[in-house]
Amino acid sequence: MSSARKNIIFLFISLLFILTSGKNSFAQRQVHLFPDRNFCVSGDTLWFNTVIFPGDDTKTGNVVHVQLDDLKNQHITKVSVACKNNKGHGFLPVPDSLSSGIYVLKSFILAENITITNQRLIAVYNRFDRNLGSLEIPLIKNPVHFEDAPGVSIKTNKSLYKSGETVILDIHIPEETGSGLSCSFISAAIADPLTEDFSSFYIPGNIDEQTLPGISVTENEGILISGKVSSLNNSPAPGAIVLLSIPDTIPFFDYCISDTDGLFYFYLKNARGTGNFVIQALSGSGENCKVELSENYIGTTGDFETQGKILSYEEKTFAADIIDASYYERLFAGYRHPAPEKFSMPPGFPYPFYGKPTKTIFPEEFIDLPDFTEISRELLHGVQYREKKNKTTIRLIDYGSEVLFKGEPLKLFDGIPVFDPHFFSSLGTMDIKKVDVVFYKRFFGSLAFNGILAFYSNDKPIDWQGALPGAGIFRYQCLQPESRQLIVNEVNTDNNNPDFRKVFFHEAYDHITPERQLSFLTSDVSGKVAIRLIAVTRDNKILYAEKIVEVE
Amino acid sequence: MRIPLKTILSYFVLLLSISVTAQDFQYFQWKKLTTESNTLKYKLPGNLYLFRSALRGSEFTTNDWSKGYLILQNGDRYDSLSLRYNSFLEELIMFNKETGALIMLDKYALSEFSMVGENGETQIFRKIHFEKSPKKDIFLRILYEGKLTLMLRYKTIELATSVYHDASGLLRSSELFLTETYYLGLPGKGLIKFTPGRRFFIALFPGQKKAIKKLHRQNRLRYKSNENIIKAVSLIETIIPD
Repeated sequence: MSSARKNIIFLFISLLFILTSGKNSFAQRQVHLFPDRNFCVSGDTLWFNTVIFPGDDTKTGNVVHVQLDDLKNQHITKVSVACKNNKGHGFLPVPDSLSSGIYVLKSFILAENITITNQRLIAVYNRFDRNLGSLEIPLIKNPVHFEDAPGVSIKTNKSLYKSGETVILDIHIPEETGSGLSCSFISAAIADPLTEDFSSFYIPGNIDEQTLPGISVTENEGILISGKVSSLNNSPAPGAIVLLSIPDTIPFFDYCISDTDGLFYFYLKNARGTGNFVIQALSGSGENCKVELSENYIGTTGDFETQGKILSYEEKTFAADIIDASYYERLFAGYRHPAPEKFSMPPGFPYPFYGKPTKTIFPEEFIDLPDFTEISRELLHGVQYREKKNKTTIRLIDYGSEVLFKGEPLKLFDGIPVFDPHFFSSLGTMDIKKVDVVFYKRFFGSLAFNGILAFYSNDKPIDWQGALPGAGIFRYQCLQPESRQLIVNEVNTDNNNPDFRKVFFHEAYDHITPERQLSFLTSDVSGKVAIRLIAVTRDNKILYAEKIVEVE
Repeated sequence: MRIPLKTILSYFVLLLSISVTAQDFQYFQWKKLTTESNTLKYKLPGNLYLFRSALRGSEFTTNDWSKGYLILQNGDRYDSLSLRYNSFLEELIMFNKETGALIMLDKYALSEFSMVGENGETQIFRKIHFEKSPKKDIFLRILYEGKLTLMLRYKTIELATSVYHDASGLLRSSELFLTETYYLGLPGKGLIKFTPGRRFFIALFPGQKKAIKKLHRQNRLRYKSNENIIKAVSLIETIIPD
């Protein structure tokens, strides 16, 4: 064989090796999901932990999406959490009206070459289904079972406890096992006889690539929002300018040009909580368009095959007891849903997108002026406001060329673009808190503006934006704000208030000592209690250990 | 040559429709925007830049546009931008190929940028906040970064000169002149403006007087070019206390 041919073969093999190893590294990217239990009653709050593997891959970002689907891939709800050091946690409020059944929790990240989602099964008992007799159960194919944690032992001081009694745990993790762990989770919850097995496996699901956003993005402390613009006759509107505004002290503004399918994308960095977004879209010919915002669920290929299951006496009794416990918990403690997710999006810059204003006026510092004609004349020097023959125009002076701009400036009201200058005619000094004016031709990316006129109102309600033609107000859930699961583990001194907790302990550990003693209080809910230790190793194995005790 | 009336009318209708469209949009574009202008990063903010000076000399540190990167204050990074540094205004100017406009980028939004200098070397500029004389943000070129940081401020000033005719034939009596000022960053002590030379370092580190003198003698340190000054700073930082 000639040396040239040898070289070619060597190069080919090397290339194959590089390509194969690259593919493997992509294939290994995955998100593990560990809920605090395998069942809940509708209206409950389910807490979970997530781990992104590998942890040092910057291309994965740090945002994990967790969605709840039914067995037919119908989407129920979704949350997004930001991880720290590839580990995250959050909660998922289970809708109050959800029917009894087995549901699927799916976790995923938006990164290149992520094609698999780790699915976890969970039973939901509707709070009015006290006489539940049967359920559709999935036929599970190809589950990935967690491995037994070698040498790990969970010991308790007793095996039978009374309600309100302290359970003392001694957890032993051998040095050789502990040193290879990336993180571990310990939980203790009432064990559901129907779903007890769900704790120890996940089901890999193939992501339907059609449901992924058609744009490459790494979500890092931010969230991608996407949507579609269509013309008034419902055909996609390519080339439309889509404007996103979020009113705030320093308002957020961004734009996107819709692609050939009318799709648009925005990335909101550090946006946490649920916010009100105003989206306006103008087609290439300047007409208003319809805007739909996508909830960015992913789909998985293939439904679960199911079969009907008549519940055993034990399973039926458990479901009835747990529904009763939820009912009485609400009766005595009220509906304890997590605090509302207040929206926050710290601005990355000291000024709004229109930069440092050339002039800022606070009208309340001046005499009371009844309308904008008077305000522009008396207070806003360099702003020309004209009302002639039912046509209103606003022009700003350009400090660059020292003449008036020929076109309208960008006019903002509480950070929302307003295109009709007549909108401002009735505004008096009492309505306006502040006016920022920029007397320069401004650029924001590739958008150019003939100066900026930004009004900030005196506590004007957000509803006014609904009056803007073509504007849509969307309430959108961004990253879930940092929150901690609060489990009260103190002796209940108030004998009149029964304790109906279903989860007694749930903690995550980055480093766990070889010998660890923990304790928790049982509640008034009797039955088996499953104490679980789940650990993720540095080489992406999931180890599992369990101990069952009983509360009478 | 006769132009048919139909053609003239069509032309006027076309003109009218363009003006109506522009009016509806309420903002001005040189070109129709495409998805090329989309980015998930924070969009670059700035004012339109107009060339203004007809004086002899240049307001810019480079004669031509240079490709470089830019990092915003929020960490977003843009690459392969056409940039020029206006050392008279101490502002960064960018050519936006989407709109064909020259944009003076908002300094508050910028953190760092790079350019290719006249000699082909990559120059990295970083925004430094000065608390006094003057109290403002200034872009300084990073020459060396170690225990000590060596930085250079480019500032173009207007100097009086003998009368001459500019390109427009107007009489002028001043010209633009590029000045360079060196700054030394000391760990935990901020920046010191200095004139490069042995005397400065001895005054700054009096305890290391002998060692500094020896270093200069052994390495024949001179302060005639940036390369020499960088070499001197990198050697001196090895003998100063932590």
